[in-house]
Amino acid sequence: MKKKVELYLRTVWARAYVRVVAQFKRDLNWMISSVIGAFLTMATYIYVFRSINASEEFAGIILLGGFMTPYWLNVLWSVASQLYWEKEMGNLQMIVLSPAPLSAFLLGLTLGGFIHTTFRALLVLFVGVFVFKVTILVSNPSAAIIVFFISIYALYSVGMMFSALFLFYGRELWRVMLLIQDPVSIASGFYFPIKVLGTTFAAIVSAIPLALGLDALRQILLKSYKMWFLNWKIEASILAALGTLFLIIALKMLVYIEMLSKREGKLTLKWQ
Amino acid sequence: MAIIRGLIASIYVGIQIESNWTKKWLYAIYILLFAFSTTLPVIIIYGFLAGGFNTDVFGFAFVGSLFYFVFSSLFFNTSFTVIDDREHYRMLKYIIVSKTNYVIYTLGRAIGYVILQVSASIIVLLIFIPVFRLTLSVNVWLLMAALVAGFIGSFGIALMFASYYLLSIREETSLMDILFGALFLISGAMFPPTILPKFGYFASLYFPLSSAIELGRYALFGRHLTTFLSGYSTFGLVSFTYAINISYFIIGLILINFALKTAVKKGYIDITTAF
Repeated sequence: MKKKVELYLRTVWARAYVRVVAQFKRDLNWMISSVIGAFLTMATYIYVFRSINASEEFAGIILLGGFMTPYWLNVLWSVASQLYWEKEMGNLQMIVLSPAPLSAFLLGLTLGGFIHTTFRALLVLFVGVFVFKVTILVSNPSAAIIVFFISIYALYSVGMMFSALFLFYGRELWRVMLLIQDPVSIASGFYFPIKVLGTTFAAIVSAIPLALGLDALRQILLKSYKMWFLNWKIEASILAALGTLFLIIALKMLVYIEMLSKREGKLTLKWQ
Repeated sequence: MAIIRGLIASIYVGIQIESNWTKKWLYAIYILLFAFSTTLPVIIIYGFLAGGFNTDVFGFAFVGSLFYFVFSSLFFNTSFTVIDDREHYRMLKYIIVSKTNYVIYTLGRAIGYVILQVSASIIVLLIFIPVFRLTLSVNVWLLMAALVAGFIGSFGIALMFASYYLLSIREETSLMDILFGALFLISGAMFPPTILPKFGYFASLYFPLSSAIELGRYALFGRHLTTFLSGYSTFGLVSFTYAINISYFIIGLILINFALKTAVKKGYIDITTAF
């Protein structure tokens, strides 16, 4: 038992290490460019709202959307699709054949991804606050931290669920990712409150963890935020339930898909 | 004749690579959804938050985002062919040493993309003109002129990016992250660049796509919907648009020739770092 736990933790650490340390040692330009890219996209939407003479409240709304954008991109391109990339690079068969559990591997890259994305997200937030002079009021820091972590938990659980599903994809995965990237971020209310979509649509998009997470964070951090969908406490509870549900599905799917992939010989297929 | 053959072959290859990952009808749905998704923020922000669909600002942003979709897909996808051909398909060295000039090959790939993207955008536009009651006054010749100018400028940018990719030996996409945000900001697709700070406005004015998009809007609506580039006569606007777009194309051409020679000399055309 002790050996199993040790192996699990070692796998988690090994995979997280690559994500956390490598970005500073090898890929600093990736971090800088993703921060600048996210900031410029955020700036575009701030100018869009300025062009329609919207209230300055929207700058704060967009800023928090911009803060969460790196997490969504990380989940999409580095968690959900990671097993697919490993397959394309020829590593997947070694990962699956090794004694290390696949769930530990995924947990490691999720934790590592979260840590390295947090550096980017905070940089986007600071640059945005500085340039657009947005006031963020942290009157209830403990609530903000709890809601943030519940949102992240739910979001990364979705990522783990999709990583198992995407293992089955071939070339079409790239297209699917491109297709869902923007609509999901738009529907989640990255750039506007989901309440503007109307109650029915807002309820539908609430299945995407970011939608409720962002709405809850805006309620806590933006004093002037009036267009909230549900009370943040209810939203946090729904998110916690969703996150747990997604995680359970992810773990079950992972075992099933791993078995199916071995049986159907899909672990070594590239560019199919 | 060899040039035409090479061009046709690369158009075919471009369309196949872009679309043969699934069934044709599924690809058609995919590309329509993709084109539509680029207009989603416009529909929500301008339609629901800014006072409805039958306004000039909505028309400005809706049409602008479709034009940006066509032009940006063109330069992002075309330049990315360097990485695709070198890393994924490992064919770049064969293409470069073949009889077809590499620029002609890239042009073929760009034409392949533009055929698909323009078709999708036209269908989306035709579906949503009655839905949003957009009042158009289309000048077909001017619209063609805008598309050709935008194609020239986008292709120029694609050549510049392709040059960068040729000379970077890792799958280096971080530049794209910056440029995607920056070019979208200054393109004038979603809002008039006149509200940008002076530097941003200046960058937008001399960025090829902003004038091509504005010319496209002018061709579709028969008038300027904002003050951006409204001081020009029709001839003046066409001339300005072509001058900027052709300049970018020439710069792109110079850079790609330099990058090709350097990449061949340094052995970068068959180097693989992933996959």
